[in-house]
Amino acid sequence: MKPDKPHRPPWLRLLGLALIAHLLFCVQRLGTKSLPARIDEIQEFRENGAIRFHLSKSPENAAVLQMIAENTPEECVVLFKGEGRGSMELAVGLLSPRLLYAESGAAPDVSMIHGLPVARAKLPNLGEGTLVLVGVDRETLRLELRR
Amino acid sequence: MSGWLWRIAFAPPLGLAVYAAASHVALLAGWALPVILLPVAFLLGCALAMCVSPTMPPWTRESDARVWKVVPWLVAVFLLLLVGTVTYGAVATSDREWDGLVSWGLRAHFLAPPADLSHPFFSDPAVYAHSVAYPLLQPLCLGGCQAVLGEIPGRLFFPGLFVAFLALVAGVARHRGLPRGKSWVMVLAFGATPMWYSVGSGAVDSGYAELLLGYFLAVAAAGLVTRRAVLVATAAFCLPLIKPEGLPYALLLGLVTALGSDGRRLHGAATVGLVLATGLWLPLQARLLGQSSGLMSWALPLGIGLGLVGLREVQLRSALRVRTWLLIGGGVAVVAAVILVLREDDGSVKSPLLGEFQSALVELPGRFADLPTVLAGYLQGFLFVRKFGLLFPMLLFLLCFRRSWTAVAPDRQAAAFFLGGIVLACLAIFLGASTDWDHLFKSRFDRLLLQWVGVGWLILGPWLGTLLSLSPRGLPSESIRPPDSSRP
Repeated sequence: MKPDKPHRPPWLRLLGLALIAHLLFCVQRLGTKSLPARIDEIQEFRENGAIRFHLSKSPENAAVLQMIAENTPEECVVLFKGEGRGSMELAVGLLSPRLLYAESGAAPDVSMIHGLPVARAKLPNLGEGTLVLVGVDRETLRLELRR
Repeated sequence: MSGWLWRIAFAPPLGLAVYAAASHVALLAGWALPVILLPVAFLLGCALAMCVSPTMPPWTRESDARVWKVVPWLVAVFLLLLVGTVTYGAVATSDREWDGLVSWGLRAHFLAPPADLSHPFFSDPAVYAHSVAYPLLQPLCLGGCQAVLGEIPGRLFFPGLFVAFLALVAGVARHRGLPRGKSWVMVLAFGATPMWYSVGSGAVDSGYAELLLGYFLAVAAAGLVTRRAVLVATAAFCLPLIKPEGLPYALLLGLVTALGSDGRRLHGAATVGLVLATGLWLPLQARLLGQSSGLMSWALPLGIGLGLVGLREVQLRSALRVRTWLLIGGGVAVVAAVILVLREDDGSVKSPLLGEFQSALVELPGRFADLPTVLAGYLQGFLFVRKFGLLFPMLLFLLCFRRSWTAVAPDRQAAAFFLGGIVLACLAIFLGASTDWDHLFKSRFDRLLLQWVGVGWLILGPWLGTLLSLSPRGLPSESIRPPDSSRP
């Protein structure tokens, strides 16, 4: 006597095909897409640094933040004003651990806030003064000096 | 591996919950977080979980087909490659994704022990702090790891959590009676979901909180499927502490257990977890927003608890028709209560997921004009094979065979939890503040769906077991241990 053949309803067979397709697609995707893309991304990050990597589509903003990062100590306060969304959000993360402090809340001659020095720098054509990072709009950052 | 050792799969949730409780209490009390808090609390929670969990049942006998002897090895090799990829991505650099850098990573930096909420980043409104009033569990975990291991090695938290996620799925598969080889296939099917390891937002190494939220949603589903109250309580406790949408998800869990057909054990666990979480989080959130911790911060947890318990008691004593109305009324009341209670004086609401609903209600008639676009966006999201593989088409397919979907009793609550969560995710898009549908479906809806991927695979698991078995009947319950036999 023949043993009973395994019986599966048609919908279960379709589900089985879908499962096999899912596994094959996902497994090949790791090797062919995700791993190479990740390696490229990491290489780009290492070559350009965090600021230029995150602001690769906006080199002007990258130059502004790079200038602050290179000319101020990590433990300091940077004044800011203007549009707080968009590029300014990234600036907060990229300039960390520097604190961004609302310019409107800082006294005119302030030099220390929360025990940290307020960032000062000398800018070409502008002279020396307290740095103010300005969010012109969601896409544009600019530096001003407060004397 | 012995059944005792398999309990490790269910230990990390309790470990994280103990750390969450200890760290939130410390922050509320104004104490600085000690560096040893994370390892001590986590190990304590894990040890507790190992003690209270029942021993896992032995593996169900595998079929004699030779392929099932090879499958575990093949899957193990792929999973090693997968975990290796995301580990490399996590520790090769600092954050490479927007939210990971701007929100989660930054707050983790300022919360790394020894730290407390007196730091100007949290206490001075003049300091720019993105999403400062967002829940803190992920920054606390990441900051804790970074304090112990260093800034970049501390990012091992992400691949570690992913491994815990894989172990949880494997543990549930084994607990449900899937044989070894089929359990490995289920873990592979879940872990290989492309969005976990693709470059971009939501990936394991992206620094986003989708992984942690998805993990605890799966913990909740695991609790429902295995009837373990400790898992349900842990999930209900941790969900509101991870992301704003965690609160409605935890409420959904309370609602699902309230209206389920079981006794009071699971529902009581969900209620206790939710009440404790809101009791800890709402006063802390009020402090982060610079508000005094008003009566509402304490009254809301109590109200939620009483509401859920009352709903359960009425449900237990009512006829079927009344229960249906209770289901609808309870759901609406819970969502409405959260919207009303979390509303600010200016009309805005603290919880982004729910808060946006209110302003959107005014524009609702106009939004219906965009309904075809929105529906197309939903469909595109579910069919986004490059992100989710074929998970959602398979689940939609099962939905078409509704009798099969609900054939296995303990999965009913998990399925209701899953469907409720997907509905909430869809509503969050349709009733959100923005009507930039293109942006919403490209960058938000996929992450909302990603949170439910683990739950989806836990639901699909029993059918996978049937599908891959040589059973003569091919019914979902054939290869699966009856639910009550696994009850502790």
